[in-house]
Amino acid sequence: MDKIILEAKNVSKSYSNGENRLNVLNNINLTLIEKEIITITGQSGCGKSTLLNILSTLDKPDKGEIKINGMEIVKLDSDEISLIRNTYVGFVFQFHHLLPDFTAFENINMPNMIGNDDCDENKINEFIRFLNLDNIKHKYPSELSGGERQRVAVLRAIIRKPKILFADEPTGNLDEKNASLLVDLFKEINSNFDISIIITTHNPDVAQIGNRSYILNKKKLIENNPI
Amino acid sequence: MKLHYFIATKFLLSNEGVGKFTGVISKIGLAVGSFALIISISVLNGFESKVIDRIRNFEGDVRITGLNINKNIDDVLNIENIKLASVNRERKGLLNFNLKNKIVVFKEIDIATIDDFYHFPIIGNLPKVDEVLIGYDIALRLGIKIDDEVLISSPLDQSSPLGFPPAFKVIVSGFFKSRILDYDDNIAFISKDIGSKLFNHASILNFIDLKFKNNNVDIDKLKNNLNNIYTSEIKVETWKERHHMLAKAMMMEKVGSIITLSLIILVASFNMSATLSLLTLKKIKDIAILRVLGARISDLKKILIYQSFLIGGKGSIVGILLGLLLVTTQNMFGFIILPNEIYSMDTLPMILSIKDITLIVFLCCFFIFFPGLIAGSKVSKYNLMESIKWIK
Repeated sequence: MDKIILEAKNVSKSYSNGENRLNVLNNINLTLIEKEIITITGQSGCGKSTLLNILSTLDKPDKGEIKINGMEIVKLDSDEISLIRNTYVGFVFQFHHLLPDFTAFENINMPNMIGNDDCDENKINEFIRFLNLDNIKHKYPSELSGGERQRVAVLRAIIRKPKILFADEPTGNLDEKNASLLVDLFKEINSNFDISIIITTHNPDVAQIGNRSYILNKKKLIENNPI
Repeated sequence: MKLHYFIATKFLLSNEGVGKFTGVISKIGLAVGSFALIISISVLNGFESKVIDRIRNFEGDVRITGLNINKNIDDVLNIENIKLASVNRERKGLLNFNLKNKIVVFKEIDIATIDDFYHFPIIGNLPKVDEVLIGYDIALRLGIKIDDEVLISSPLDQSSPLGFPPAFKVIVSGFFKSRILDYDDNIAFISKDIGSKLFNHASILNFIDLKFKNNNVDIDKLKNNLNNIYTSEIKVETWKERHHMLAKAMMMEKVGSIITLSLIILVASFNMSATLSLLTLKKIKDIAILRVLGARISDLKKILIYQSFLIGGKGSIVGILLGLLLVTTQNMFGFIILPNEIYSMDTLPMILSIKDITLIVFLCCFFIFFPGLIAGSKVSKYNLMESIKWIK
């Protein structure tokens, strides 16, 4: 039986808009199986990023349950959430969000340092070679191209071999060529490192790489192409 | 520690002018504050040490009173760490010169040991058995010169049934200038020969002043040893206990000085708090990214505390080192000169102990730690998602 790596039940979220409350997500249910890729599409402002942030522990739902690797995360305290972020999940944002004061290598190694793991330089270099970033590892983010920055950000997200990689519009800031390279990279990461991936995107090409694809519409998550 | 220090240094190095001015002001404030503390404490210690030395050179380390039997002084001298003992008697009396009177305390001492036990500046000579050594201010008040003859009498002792007190004419051998409290205006040293003629009242009891070989004397142990020698109830008081108000005043002066000068560091600390707030605001997005990567709130607090120490530590270290340098060079070369007629010492005394340095370092650390902790607490309240979207 396939192992469920993420399970969301009846997740709802609303935001306060002056005197009114704006419902963004309403009773969302989602299950992610080990080694699976799920893509979520939808119109701008429909709540894709909100859903991804909630699933990835960056935000809290108003109600509902979320389990990552069997652990109920909604009720965890700040330190426990930090441990989950450092160990079980990785994030790639539309904007690379690299730390500007640190070199590419230091950015990639940052999750290890936070996790108090000794820096295994060989292991990191192996990853760097895998992503063809060997020649830029001592450069600062400002010295890198858009594609390179995003690949460094991806590498930083997977350096601790998390169970799930969350990618929020990862190709949104890239040209067609770099977007294509990134899509291939996600596939390779999924197959080589057995990392499950949830991607929100506008890009139909990116949406196609999912084992399952969902559309977020009218606060509900609807499966697009049930297998 | 490696992570926090690494991030703190990187964040500070990248600082593009934000909080730089307030940072410099904080560093200067901490340097000035710690320097002032070092100098102030060392000068107060120096003067305190001079005062203590003078008192000990006038009265010894410990005074034993309440003696009702005369014992051989050798028993006392055999106690561990006792260097010298002087058996004395004191009595208020009158000193008369040229029809001018002054009430003084006659202190009867063993003239043979005066040179060993008492160390204070003297104008003239030490007294012989039939001479008197008086305080400089008494001489000034009565217009007495060396070798003048003065009349001394003890009205509390009556030598005849008619009630006339014992009175003698003695030669003034010299004047002492102890500069301790009002001693120079009150005390006259007399020999045991003169004392035995002057003090004929039975109630005048001896007291013994003791001098230690070093400062490591256990007073409680000494009291036990003395109680074994003098089987009756005796009173053993250190110079500090005898002059507790003076000791307290010196302590209060030091505490007051530390509190006042700590205010400089406190102001610098407020400044540093502002600097860290600016730096934190600039790095709010980077801090949020660190949280996304799994950094705990406690990690972020530690990073900010490190930043606080990196900014404030530099100022404090500079101030403390400059202070230590000044104290050392003053002790080596004595280049800060004092007017001898006012202070009765040639150079500014400066003494600093490891305990004082530890106290100053602790104070600096205390005032550096809090801005970091406050900034860290603020960071923990930032909303993660809003921080990630933060645009400078």
